[in-house]
Amino acid sequence: MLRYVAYRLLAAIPVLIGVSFVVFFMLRLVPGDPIRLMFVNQPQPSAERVEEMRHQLGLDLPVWRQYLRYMGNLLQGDLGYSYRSRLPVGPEIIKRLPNTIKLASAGLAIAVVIGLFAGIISAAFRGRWLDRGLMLFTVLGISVPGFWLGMMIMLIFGVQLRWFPVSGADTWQQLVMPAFTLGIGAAAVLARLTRANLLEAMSQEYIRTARAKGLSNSSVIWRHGLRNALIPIVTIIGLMIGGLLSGAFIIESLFAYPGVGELAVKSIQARDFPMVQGVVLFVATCYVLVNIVTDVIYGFLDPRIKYS
Amino acid sequence: MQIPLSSDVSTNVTLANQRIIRTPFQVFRRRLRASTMTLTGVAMVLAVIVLAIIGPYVAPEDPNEMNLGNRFMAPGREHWFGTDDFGRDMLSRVLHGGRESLMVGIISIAIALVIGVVVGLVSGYFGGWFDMVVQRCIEVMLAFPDLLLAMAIVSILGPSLRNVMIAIGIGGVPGNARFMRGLVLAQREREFVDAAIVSGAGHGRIIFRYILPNSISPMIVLTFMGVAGAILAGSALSFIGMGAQPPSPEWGAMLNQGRQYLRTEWWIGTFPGIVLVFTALGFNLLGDGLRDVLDPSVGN
Repeated sequence: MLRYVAYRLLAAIPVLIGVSFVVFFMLRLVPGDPIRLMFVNQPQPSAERVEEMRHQLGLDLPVWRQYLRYMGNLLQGDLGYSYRSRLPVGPEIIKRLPNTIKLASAGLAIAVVIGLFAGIISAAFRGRWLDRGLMLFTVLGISVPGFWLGMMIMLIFGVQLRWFPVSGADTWQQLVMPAFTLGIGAAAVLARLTRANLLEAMSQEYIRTARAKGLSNSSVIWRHGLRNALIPIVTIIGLMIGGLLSGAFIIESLFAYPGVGELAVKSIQARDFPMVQGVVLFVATCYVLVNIVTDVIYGFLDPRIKYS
Repeated sequence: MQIPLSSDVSTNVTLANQRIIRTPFQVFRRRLRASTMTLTGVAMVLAVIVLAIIGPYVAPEDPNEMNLGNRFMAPGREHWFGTDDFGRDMLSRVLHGGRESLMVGIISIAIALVIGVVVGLVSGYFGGWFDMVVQRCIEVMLAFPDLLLAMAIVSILGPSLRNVMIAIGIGGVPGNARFMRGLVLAQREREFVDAAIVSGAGHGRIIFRYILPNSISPMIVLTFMGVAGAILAGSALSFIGMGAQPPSPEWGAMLNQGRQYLRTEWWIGTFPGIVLVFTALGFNLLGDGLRDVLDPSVGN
């Protein structure tokens, strides 16, 4: 097992180098002089000052040396400086990270609870009106854009009923609406997958054996069907975290929730490229690591999987 | 020797024959009719397409015509969907916006399909170092969550609806290429490909005559299932100001405008959302149905 984890981590290194390569060139592909871009909406510096800054930032070096310099800085945790605030990018992301983790975890928890519950009920009542109704709801769930659902939730529960505050991130009440908005789409996807996997598991022979032993229906579903159906769902939940993180960008921006996503959207709008670069690199790295963790958990849950 | 057939037996034989000679299209039509959900999806998608085509002609007013005397009129007999902050008729704007939202879905999906199929075909068929390089590139691209990749691309290209289509299209390439490669690898092992090689067919003929036609069907199903997602992603980017720019009546851009007035003028942010959900729901129902009808092997 340890060998497998080490192997996966090693295999992730070329991917992460590739990610850094893409992110590095992202900034180089932006049309316009990066130094001039730093002074958008501000008085432009003199030509000498521009040259001096170019030299300071290493922009007069060949591209491959610029990349090496960028990687060197990256390995020391230096993600560069924001064009907008002139502050280092890394600490700004770290400062906002707890808020985004809180939101994504709450969204994931809502998705897992609602999604699994709806999927199990649906499979247990297969073909009946309850199943059809729930499945219709799940198609609706994946068809409603998160940002509009968020607006409607805000309109009803924030503006009309005044149950929850419409922005901020200090209290748990402020987390309810964005987390629910984020989780509901993922819940719909999970419900569909849980239903499909559970139905497949229930058609296996060990279920017939369990029934033949005289076990009750609920015991067959919970102890035999669900345990096996849940294994592939763990992978999907892992993959969902990436979607939740990037979905959080828009939801955070809608609810003015001070997380990494809101920072990214603001930076994109202000063309603050080092900040955009930092956030993209950070989220992609998290995504790669989460996928590795998911695969390892998968192995724990399913002893049939052998690591080689 | 003649075998006497009773009338019952002959009917059964005819029925069995009918079952055998049913063309794929007949099977498709039969399965389609059996699914209410799919038919509902077909009707909804047709309605959206018809509205996108005739919408601009039946719209009561010019979508960009400002009338400051009519600002923020609530939905009523004169303006069914109300008016916005510039006094523009919301119904006319929603009707015009359909074209843009549909276009985002269709063009971006087409970009992802064409590039994904070509890359997957070449990579899967030829294998070797090219395949290895392509697979590593795909792994790197898959390390970026979909929407994040699209946002990064738009941030470089600049905000516009055209760039949103390109960004969503490129974002869809790695998944499509990987799926297509899998299909090609499966087809390459089939006997008819061996037969074609033995009969002296060139690479081009094998790819286009044998492998592509036999692997494209699941690819198209997968693509169709992605239309709704692409429309929603496009509107999401417009919603945060990265896609269609004012005064465009693109639905996501209209919702962005509507959120500023959510507290007082609810209709500006409500009606474009309802039509957006209707459109995505139609495509999702149709996509689900097509998957079941055409290719049960493509999972959820």
